[in-house]
Amino acid sequence: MNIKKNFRVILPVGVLALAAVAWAGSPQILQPAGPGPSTASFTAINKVFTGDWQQYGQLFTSWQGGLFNRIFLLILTIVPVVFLLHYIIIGAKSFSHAGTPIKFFGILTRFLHWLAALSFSLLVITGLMVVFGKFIGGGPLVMSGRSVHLIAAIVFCLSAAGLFLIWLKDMLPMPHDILWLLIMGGYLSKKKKPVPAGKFNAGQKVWFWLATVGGGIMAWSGYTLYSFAAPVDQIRQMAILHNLLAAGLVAFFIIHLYMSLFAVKGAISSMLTGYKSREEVAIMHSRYKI
Amino acid sequence: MARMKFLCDVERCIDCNGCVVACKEGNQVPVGINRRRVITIGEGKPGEKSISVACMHCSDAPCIAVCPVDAIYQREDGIVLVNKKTCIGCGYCFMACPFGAPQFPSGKVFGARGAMDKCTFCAGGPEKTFSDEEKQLYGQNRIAEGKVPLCAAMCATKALMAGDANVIADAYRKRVFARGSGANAWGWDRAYGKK
Amino acid sequence: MARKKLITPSSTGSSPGARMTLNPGMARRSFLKLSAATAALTGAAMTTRMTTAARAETVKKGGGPYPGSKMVKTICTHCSVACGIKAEVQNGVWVRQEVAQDHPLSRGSHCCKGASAIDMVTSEKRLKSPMKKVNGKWQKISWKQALDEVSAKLLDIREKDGPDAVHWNGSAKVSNEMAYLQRKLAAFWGTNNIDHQARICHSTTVAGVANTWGYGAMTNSVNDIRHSKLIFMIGSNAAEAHPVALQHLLHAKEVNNAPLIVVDPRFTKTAAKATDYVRIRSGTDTAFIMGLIHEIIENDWYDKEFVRTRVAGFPEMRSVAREYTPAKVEEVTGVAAAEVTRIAKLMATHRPGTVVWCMGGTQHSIGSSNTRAYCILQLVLGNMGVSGGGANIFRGHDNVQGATDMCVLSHSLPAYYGLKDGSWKHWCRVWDVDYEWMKSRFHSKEYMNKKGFTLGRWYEGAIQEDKITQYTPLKAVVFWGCASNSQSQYHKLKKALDMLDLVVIIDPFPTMTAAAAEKDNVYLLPCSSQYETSGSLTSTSRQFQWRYKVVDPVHDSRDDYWIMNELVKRFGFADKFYKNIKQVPEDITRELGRGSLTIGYNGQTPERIKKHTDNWHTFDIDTMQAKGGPCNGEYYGLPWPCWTEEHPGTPILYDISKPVAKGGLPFRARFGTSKTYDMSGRTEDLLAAKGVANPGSEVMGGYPEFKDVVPGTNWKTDLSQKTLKEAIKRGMAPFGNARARCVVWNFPDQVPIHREPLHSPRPDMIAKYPTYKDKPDHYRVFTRYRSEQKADWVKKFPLILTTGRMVEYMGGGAETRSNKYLAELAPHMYAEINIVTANNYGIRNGEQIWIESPNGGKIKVMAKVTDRVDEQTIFLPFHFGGEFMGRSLAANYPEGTVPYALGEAANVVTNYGYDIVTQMQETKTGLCKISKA
Repeated sequence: MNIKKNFRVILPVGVLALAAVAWAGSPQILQPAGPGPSTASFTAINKVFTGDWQQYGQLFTSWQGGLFNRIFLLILTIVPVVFLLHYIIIGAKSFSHAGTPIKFFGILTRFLHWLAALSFSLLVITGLMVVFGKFIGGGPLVMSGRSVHLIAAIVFCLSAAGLFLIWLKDMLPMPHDILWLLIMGGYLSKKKKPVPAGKFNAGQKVWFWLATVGGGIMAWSGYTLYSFAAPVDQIRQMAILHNLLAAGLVAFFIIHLYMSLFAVKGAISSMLTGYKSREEVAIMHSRYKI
Repeated sequence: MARMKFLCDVERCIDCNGCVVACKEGNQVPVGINRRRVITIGEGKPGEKSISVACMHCSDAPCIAVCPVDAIYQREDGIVLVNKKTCIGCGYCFMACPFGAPQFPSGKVFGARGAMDKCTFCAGGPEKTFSDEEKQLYGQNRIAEGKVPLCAAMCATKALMAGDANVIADAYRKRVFARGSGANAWGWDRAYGKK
Repeated sequence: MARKKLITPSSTGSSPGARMTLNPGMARRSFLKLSAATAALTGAAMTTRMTTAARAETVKKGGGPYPGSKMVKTICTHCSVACGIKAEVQNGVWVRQEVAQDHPLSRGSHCCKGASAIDMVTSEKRLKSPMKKVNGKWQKISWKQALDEVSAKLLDIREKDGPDAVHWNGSAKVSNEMAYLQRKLAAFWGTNNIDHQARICHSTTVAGVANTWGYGAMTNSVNDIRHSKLIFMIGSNAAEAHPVALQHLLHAKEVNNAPLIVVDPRFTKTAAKATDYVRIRSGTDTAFIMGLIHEIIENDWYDKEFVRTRVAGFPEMRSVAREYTPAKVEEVTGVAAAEVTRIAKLMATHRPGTVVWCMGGTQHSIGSSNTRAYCILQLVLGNMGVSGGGANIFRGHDNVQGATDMCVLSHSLPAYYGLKDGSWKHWCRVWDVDYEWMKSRFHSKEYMNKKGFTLGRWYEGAIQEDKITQYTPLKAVVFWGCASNSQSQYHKLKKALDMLDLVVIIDPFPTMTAAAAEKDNVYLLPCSSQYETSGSLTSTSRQFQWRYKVVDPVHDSRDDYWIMNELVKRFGFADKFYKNIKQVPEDITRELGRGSLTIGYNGQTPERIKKHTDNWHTFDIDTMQAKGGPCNGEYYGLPWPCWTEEHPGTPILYDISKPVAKGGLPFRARFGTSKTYDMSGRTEDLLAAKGVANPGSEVMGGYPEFKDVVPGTNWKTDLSQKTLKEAIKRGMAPFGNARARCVVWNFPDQVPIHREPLHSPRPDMIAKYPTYKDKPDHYRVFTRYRSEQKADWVKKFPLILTTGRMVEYMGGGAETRSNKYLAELAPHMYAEINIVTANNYGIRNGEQIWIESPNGGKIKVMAKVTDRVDEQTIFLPFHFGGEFMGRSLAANYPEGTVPYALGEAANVVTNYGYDIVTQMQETKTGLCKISKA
């Protein structure tokens, strides 16, 4: 890995990591015992978004009481089924490995991606453990799941922050993204026609922004839920947000798993070795300047 | 089956915190957890009122509705209890409760919340009645002894009542009737602006 | 399942239609059918019904959470309402407090202090063993060493400097038996330097009220207030100081529609329950009351018949009251003139009404005038001697009534006999010791009859900033169950502690005294709490209750009786002291009863007291009389005076509707049979009018006190008690049948008049109503009055300083601040400050401020911005201790005994000022200045 080249990524991530450790190490933060000086600013920031509204108790109660579970259940059943159908009907795309492979992802990128992937998977699993807690008996098992959720969140935030910095330029929306979306990236046909996409296609971009910005919102709302360092109505709003956004993220996570594992045969190797085949790049990322 | 309820008579509550401490002392609740609290509004001004609040053991308990692990349950007599061994400390019950009854000890891994604690109506918990485990986790089980919750029993002015909803409603109705519309509130000495 | 019954967000707050209502059988119209005649359900009945309905499983006999446990009855140690406590004890361990449902006064109720009574025994902060300060550090020592050294040092001081070189601060928290022994100890020691908390609490009450009509105690009872048609509270914050009493006050408010009038400079928690709140300038009680009396008399609302037959000095008093027109009262007190008239009319149209007062009225330089004014008010209204009326004085500590009756006080021997030769002879007879021997114990005869130092100013005996009239300065002080941070000008007291040769603290907790005394002259002796011993106590309603021992003394503490025995042995007079005392405490009860004939303490034998305690449930809460059962016909607690062992007790003092043998009583003939008034030249017969006496009285009219039934004795000194029995037999009161007097000719102000507090915010009022002349020998200390009352104090100290109570704590706070649950409720010392004042000084809620007094003390506390106080007043709770003038004293406590809550002691900044008669401290009204810290 070329440290000098990646310095503008390594430095901010490093600083962030140190700050996180110091922050975590300070007893004040990890003992959220109600409103105190450290939480006052947090609350104030929340208020900018949430306003001064009461009335969220009933909404939270009825949605948490029945709606959220159903949404998650639907997502966990329907999304895989839809993509299973896609696999059966349309199937995976296959590309030849002729010619020199093109470097797509450096070592740092891959490392951060897998760190993010692992922590995100843990977040999803332990999050679903809470959502469906009563089917696994609750208790110490799920409670330790919450602790794992917390650690995974910190790890995810750090690694996703790094990926965010690395990929930001390539993930910015482009006009051709609209075209890509109109043909759903060509995945609705078995043909291999060139698809309008740069280093990353529109689908990947959606997933990127969802995972990073959405992940950030999850972290923020998650912190409120963990610390209870806000007035109760704000906590309720954060809980609703956290659950709904989680549903969206779980859905897109499943989609990402399918797309990266099954939609293109052997696609995972690009994140393992860092290289994509020429044909794949020419078709799937036709606007990418090598 | 009789349904258990609380009612705090605001005209009598003097914010003496007898109920709060009776509960803490009787159930050995740790410092920092408040199963019961007295709230005073309008302090220092005419119209100052105090009310003692704890878990209201709602007929339609929102906390039961939102618990993801079904740790909270309701007995036939209406008393709502939590199973501390099942509870994961997520705090949803706190978010759902209009009264802020659920309390959480801190000090778990990374300062996370421990299992929820709240007023048990002095009815202990799911463990064996009168066992040491029940005492440690939940406090006294006075209902099983045929006794009234400590807070209401020890209320200084008999403002806080606890027990059979019908009986309490009856008692409160009698008081309200006796008070009329408040001593000298609308009596003849107030009429025509005499006061 | 709960999930199916969710409230959908679209529905409004009203209940969904399908839900079962609380009471399906009760439609709205049926509400009106409910009979109005039934009084509100009592707690007892309600609880029984609830218990029956709630029973989920029947508990087998001997089952339950604590098999084999027993219930022990005792009484809460915190305040004078004296609520019952049921302690469940298993294997010698107090496992939990049960509900004392059948106690006729409290009926299971407690305030937060009583609800955690068990903490007194279980608190980690208890003093665990005797300790001595050596080289600035606390050293654990054995009891033998502690007692040997303390007594040797005391005897040494006695030898070199005289018995008056020691001052004994006794306790309002010990049993009657122990309080009696404390007074007896001082006598045998040879000094009158003994005092206790009553001095700084209700001393002015006892003096003022006793001098009005004979006895200085609460005339009716807490339960009797249920029958009041009006409740007038002045200087009383009962909602915080006597919470359980509110049970009965609010009953009267509800059921009788009684107006609850609260007069206080602060809008207290009690005022929150008032129907009428009057904000009065601190220290102007007498003016306000005389204003009410003025209106009641001038409008002809007074009880003419009552005045004609049972009151003396009325015209003389009326001529003084004439000065207090509503306009004048407004000028002095700040209360609108129309309001004065309105309140007077309310009191006149709602009789019988009761008057309640506490420290707000007593702690003033004219406290002994305030208390008399309250009495005169009730006299002119004819509210005395009737159920629902009376002067219902709420005493402070759990046994301050008993300790006062036992006169743990520097101006009297037990039972208010005083210090004259006759009194000493009487008690020597009771103690079975030779009068000449007793005389020899004193420095001189003069000192045998001379009033000693008081709790309020004893420290002057050491620091001598005011001249003392005693042959020796003080060299030692013993605090036996008494705090020090409740005494005003605390910074001076602290100086004294460091000047003395010896400071002994006998207490279950170290108290602030242990932390404030910073020299190597301190001993701590751990005595046990009242739950670890037994004895009787007298509540504010004059009721006797027995405390059974709940558990043995915890840690290495010992009960007071043992400590007394050990000290007395070492002092060398144990054989005389314990001559007639073998069984402790019952023999002590018998001895003190034998001697306390003045107040009728002789009828309450230990057996009778225990029987009452054993049969709480047989007493009716409205009349306090037993309905059947072993105590049939007796009044709960045999309220004194209880003249014989068959007498049922006197539930309402001065009630002439009942025969004396059944608890009736006239006013006491204490002041002679006739008087010629200086102010008018008129001569008046002081005995009651013809036709006015208790039913069955041989003499239907006034009569003097009984004497010479046994030749050479009177009813107070006849130890055979033949006189008392004779009087009862003849249907008469042993103490005579006289008039209550509005003119107290032995007081500096014969009729109560207003005088400005020593530190007054009103120079114009000082000019019109100046204080007294300086008093050179006031309980052995030169006490300044006029020389202290400067008109320009207010320029530098512009705010009024007042103090008071919080419900969470009691007294000096050593016990209650060592209770983790109470400390959690109120962890911080604070000063209440009005929002306008706060804004003027740039002070925000929660900020630290300095408060300074004109006498040099200053404290640093948190500001609490509130509407309770007006713009000119600062309020401080006085329960805190452990900090001193901005410095923490936490390190000075013995290890493991620092209370959970520490704070500045308010008394560091309370001002110089003392009642002219009793030397009560003027802590309810002073001056101060504040600044941001």
